[in-house]
Amino acid sequence: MTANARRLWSPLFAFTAIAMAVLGIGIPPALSAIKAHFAKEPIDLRRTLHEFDPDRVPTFVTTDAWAPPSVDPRSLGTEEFYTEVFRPREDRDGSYALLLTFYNDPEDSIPHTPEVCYRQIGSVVDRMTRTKVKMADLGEVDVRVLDISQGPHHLLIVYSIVHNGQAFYEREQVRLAMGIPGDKFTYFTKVEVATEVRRNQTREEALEKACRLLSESFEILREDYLPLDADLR
Amino acid sequence: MNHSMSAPDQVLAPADRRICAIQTGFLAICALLLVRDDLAGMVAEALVKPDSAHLLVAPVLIALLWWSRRRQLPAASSRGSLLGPLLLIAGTAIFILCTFPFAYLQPRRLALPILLGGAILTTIGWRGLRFWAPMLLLVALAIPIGARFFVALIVRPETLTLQVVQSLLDVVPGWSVMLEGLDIFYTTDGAAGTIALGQPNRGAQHVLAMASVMVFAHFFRVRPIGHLVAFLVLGLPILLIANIARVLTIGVWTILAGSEPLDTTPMIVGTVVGLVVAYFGTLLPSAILTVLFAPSPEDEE
Repeated sequence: MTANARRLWSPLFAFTAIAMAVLGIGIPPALSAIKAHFAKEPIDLRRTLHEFDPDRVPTFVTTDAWAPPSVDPRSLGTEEFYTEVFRPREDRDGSYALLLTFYNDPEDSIPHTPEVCYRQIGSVVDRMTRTKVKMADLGEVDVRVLDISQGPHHLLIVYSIVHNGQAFYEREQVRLAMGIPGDKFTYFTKVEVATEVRRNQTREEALEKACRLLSESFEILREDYLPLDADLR
Repeated sequence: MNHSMSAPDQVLAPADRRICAIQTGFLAICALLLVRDDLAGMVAEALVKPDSAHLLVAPVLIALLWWSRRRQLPAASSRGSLLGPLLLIAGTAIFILCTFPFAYLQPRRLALPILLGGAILTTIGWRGLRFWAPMLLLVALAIPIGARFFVALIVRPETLTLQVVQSLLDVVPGWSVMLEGLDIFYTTDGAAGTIALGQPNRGAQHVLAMASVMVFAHFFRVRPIGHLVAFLVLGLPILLIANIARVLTIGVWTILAGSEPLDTTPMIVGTVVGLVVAYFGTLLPSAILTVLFAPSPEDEE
């Protein structure tokens, strides 16, 4: 071996080069095979969300004080959604917009959550916190709370994303959870309640009611609509 | 990666430099092989999406930058660093983990400049990395950012940009300009319309193209470390000004020509103006720095 060749193939370079060549050639097909092996399949709702029964929400009734927000399935990325405006039975003036969405395509990237969507229409997210809410048999979980300024209006939004029977308050948490192999099937659903904090009520009052609607509607969703945990394996 | 030299940062002899160039090329090809599917995806995206098209220009900018700095090449090779293989391992690990089990497109794409940096550090060491750093930065800036991720990143700065543009247009006599949400509406004598519809989703992608032009303009010559720091400090305001110039041009053109909100002509003219402002906005402070603080040879990168 000449001196140049010896320099070219110094032991450390030779080791690095061989390792990188093997990785460069072998890793992409290996990863494709592993992904295909562990790929999750979509699972359907037990009942479509279009059949969601608003009369079953115990402490709220529907109201026509607001028209339900018009929803474009293309922007939601799913045909499975439900939207309605409720008011608490004890409060004639309150309006709480409920939006339920369901996704089951394993290739779906999770849509933007309100903190991004609302900014896209010029609103300002003033505060992003979380609070505990009882979510059916999942127990007390953290849900996201957003305080948003939309012109002179103070909007309050609470939402939770449930993936395969686990509740999350951040989109990235769901993305991480979805990647973990295990279950054969996959889905995620977002339960979102939006309201305006009115002048004659405190933020805490509005938040309590929004969380209550979130909790009660999720309970119905879990009971009759979402896939059963046992069917996911 | 040459171990015949005693000092780690010592410049290599010509024969060793040739060997190092072959070694670097070999490792870079391995890195490109690893990310070949993503690379093909990015090129395909750039061919159909104007917002990502600057990726196609990046190789030309990198080649020009290399050519302009070629005289520094002899001094840009030193003994390879053991951190190089670690960087290669890190880049490979990011690529693998962001493919499976997790599906994170953006960090996976960023594995490319990390891998290339690792290849350079492994073979020609820190001097080599310093020489190639602007080119690696151009590689990173050429990577298209996914729409959802980009909107989350850009929406706030773009909102402020639109507010500034609205304020500037509103002072023109006879023009009444309002910002509602993220849409700018204008009324003039006998005309009304919308400006720069959907900017935070689409046009703002040009920020990366403008940043690439700025890196190119500043690093066209090898600069001392002080100039690099100045670039980092001044770069962001220049980028913001260039973006304001871009949207302002779209606004002025739309109002004067009575264009439709989604007409491509004002968008194209705005983009060109933004790129020109980014280029000259970088050249001017760079030239002032060069005149005021002429670098000594020891000072250079």
